[in-house]
Amino acid sequence: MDASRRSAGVRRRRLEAQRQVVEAYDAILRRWPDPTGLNHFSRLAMDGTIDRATLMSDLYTSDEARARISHEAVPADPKERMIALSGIFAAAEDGRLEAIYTDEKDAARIGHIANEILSEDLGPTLVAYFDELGTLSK
Amino acid sequence: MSTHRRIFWLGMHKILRSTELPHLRAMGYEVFSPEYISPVYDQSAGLSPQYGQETTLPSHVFKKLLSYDFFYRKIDEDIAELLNSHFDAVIVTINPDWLLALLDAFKGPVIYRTYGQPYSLSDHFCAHGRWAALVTRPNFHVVPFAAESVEREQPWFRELCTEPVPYQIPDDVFEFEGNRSKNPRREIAVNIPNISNPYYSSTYHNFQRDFPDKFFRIYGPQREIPADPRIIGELSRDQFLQCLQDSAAFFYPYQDNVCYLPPIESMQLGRPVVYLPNSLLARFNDPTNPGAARTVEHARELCGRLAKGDARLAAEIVSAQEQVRRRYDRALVKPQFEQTIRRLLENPARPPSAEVRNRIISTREHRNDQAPLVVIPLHVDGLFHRIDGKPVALEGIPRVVEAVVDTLLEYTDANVVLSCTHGSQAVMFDFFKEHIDAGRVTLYAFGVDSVGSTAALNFERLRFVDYLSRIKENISSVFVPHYYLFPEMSLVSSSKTLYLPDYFPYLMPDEVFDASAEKDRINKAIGKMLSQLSDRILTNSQFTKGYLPDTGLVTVDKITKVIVAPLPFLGSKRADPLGEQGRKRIESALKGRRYIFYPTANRPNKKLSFFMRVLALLRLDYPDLCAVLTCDLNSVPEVAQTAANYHLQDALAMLPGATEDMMRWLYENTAALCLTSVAEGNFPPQVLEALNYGAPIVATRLPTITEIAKDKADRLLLCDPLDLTAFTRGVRCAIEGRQVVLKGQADLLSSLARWNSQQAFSTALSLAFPNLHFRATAHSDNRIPLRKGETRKRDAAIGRE
Repeated sequence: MDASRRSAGVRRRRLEAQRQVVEAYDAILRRWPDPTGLNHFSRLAMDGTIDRATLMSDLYTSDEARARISHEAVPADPKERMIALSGIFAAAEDGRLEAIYTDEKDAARIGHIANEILSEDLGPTLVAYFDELGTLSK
Repeated sequence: MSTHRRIFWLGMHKILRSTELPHLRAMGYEVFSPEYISPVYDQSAGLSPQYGQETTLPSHVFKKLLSYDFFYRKIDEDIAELLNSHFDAVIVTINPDWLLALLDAFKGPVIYRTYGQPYSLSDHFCAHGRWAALVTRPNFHVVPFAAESVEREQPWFRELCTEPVPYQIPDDVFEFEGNRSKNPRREIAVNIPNISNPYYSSTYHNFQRDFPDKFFRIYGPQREIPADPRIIGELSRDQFLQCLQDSAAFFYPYQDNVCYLPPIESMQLGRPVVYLPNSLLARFNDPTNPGAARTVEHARELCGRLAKGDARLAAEIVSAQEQVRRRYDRALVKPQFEQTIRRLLENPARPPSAEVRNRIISTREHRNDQAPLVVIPLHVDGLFHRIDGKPVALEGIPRVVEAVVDTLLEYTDANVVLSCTHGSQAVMFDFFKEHIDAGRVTLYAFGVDSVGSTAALNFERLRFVDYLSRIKENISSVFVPHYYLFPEMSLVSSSKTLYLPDYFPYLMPDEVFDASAEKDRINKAIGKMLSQLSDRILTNSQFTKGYLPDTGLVTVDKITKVIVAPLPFLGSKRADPLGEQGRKRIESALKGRRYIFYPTANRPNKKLSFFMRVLALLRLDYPDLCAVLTCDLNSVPEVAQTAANYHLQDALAMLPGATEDMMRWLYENTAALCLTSVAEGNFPPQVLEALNYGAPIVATRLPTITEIAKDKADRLLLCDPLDLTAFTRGVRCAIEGRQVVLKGQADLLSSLARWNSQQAFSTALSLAFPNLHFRATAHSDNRIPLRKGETRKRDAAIGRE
């Protein structure tokens, strides 16, 4: 994501994101039907509700949320998979993927998710991703 | 002289146990020699017990080490501890796998002693994924026995090598010299041991096929002896030497990069040695040596004459082989061995060749970390290759990237980061070594190759993006060298320049360029994405810039971000005079014939089927004419079929992977470059190369040629696309009027000088990399600028600065 897209109000949104993350955790813990939480968080991010990178990072550093993420829950639906992928893309875009990956506890899960949802050509996935973001002109 | 160093000598060869092992002890070192108790059979293994060796090791340690199998297996941790706590250094002999196991176990200085082997050691280490382990190892030395034995090794491996230290044939040969018989038997000795081993089995069966003569005697230990009365098998050492002594001559049937000792022992015993071409023994000898057989038939003739007692020939050979015999003469070998090995054991310090930290490969301790960075993704296997160990770039992308890197380093203060796959890190390290050593280029090495798990590779791609995101404050620009190979660069927020020299699916809409039309469509979508997300697009011709909006890759309103940078003359930097290997490859392919030439990949736009028709027609007038191509004919099946239809198989000299020195020679000596392509994205580099190397040019009248050559385009023999009559007439003209054609081309070349100069390329690149400051002229060298008070170590050492 380039600087111009991020610059407007990014700090304010990050603070807002922190607050929403806490609420989102609650949502997962109390009522969200998707046990991974990953889809939910990513969907919020795709909606532009919160900053995805902050969200992903917070998600992965929350023991409680982490405990809720199971290996079996990688989405099968292509759209859901795209949403999940967006979380990983966002982490890479923000330079936080390595930190997540090198966390011993998270590495296995990230590796698992990556194996599940990165097993297809990256090119078309990225085209769809940027299309979804509305970055590309039609 | 130190006498208190304890050395672990990892070897078992019976010759070395009788030569270098006792010599080390005679030099005053305490040397531990393990037992060979491996289940792996080796006919050369010395099986004499080692328990009698002198030692100051504690008794329990000595016993434990003697009872341990160190060969062809990982070394256990408890044994590794003993090695590290009781030995000052290790000398590993011969086998690269023994070395790898030892390097994992032992942390101290290691000397790897090599004696020539039928395969490339550097290839072996890279294939086992151990390149990084060797180049990052401190106090590690390779001591080859002959310069010729490492000539084809990769540069990084050669850098680990000390000066060659020959090895000697055993002392008993020298003691045997007095037994020379006056009337040798009419027999020719050959040494092929262990025929049940696949390597020797192949040698034996080739020998059996090509040399059926009864006067041959085959020596060497055998586990199973085939029904061949010529096989003598294993003899006692004295008997064997006596047989060599009594034979009329020795024949050496091997043709690989190894030199076994029996022919040298025969030389020492005064017998003439005949050998086939290409072996290490042949390379040791002068090519005019009368014992050098040119062919199998020639070898049979020489052996036949010697078996019949041709004393004059025998004397001539013995005289000529003296220079090789001396290489192994103990009187000459021992002082060299002692001098080098003692130096390495007494002063083993040697810094690692490279540092690999967090995937970053560099060699320079102090880089200018404040310099702006240009990042160039190259993490695709197959862009770089090796020919005889040397790194080469055969495809367009790496050649253009090299030109861009050279220009950036010469005209700006930027440093460059190149990504590479795990499998290509060694070849890219060698290819860019000069810049890496200068501290201007670093490599980012992926943890996986581009073959294998898609998910793993994709994740590595994202980790690379992640890395770039973390250092984005330092990144001035990302240069994406291909429009669909690196889609993940779309995620990088730094300023991007996409290289888009052409887009053939637009120029040839009926052709499929990738595996399928669907793949072409996906590639285009990726190209469109990267085009839109890039700040600038670099192309090489106005022609391409003109049609890019029509392709859908770039919108008309964004055309101003397309920058035209005509390519300079690529390749000359590495075009050394034709080497021995290249000469042999060319001779073998051409067999002295006249040829037309078109070095290109086999793509639909190249129209190589048409090229075949041109060749077939020309051969009616010039029956000896052939064509040199560098591609795979089958990658466009129609081309291979056309060649078969015109019965051109014997008229095609295929030289895939031709090196720059070969390319230069091929241009300089061709009847004509015959460029049949109907679509090129820029001024064809082949035309530029032919102009520079003086090859007559017959080519399709392409807009990318006429755009640049302008009113001097008629200096070239240009033809309408796929005009058979015009092309054949053009080649005839090039053959019959070569000097006139070349004179006209020289006029064109001089007028192009300003257009494709390095300076012009730099000026164009300055538009593609606007964040960098480009100097008006090139650096005198591309080294990192010195800080105040800093001196260059090497220059300072020789008093330059």
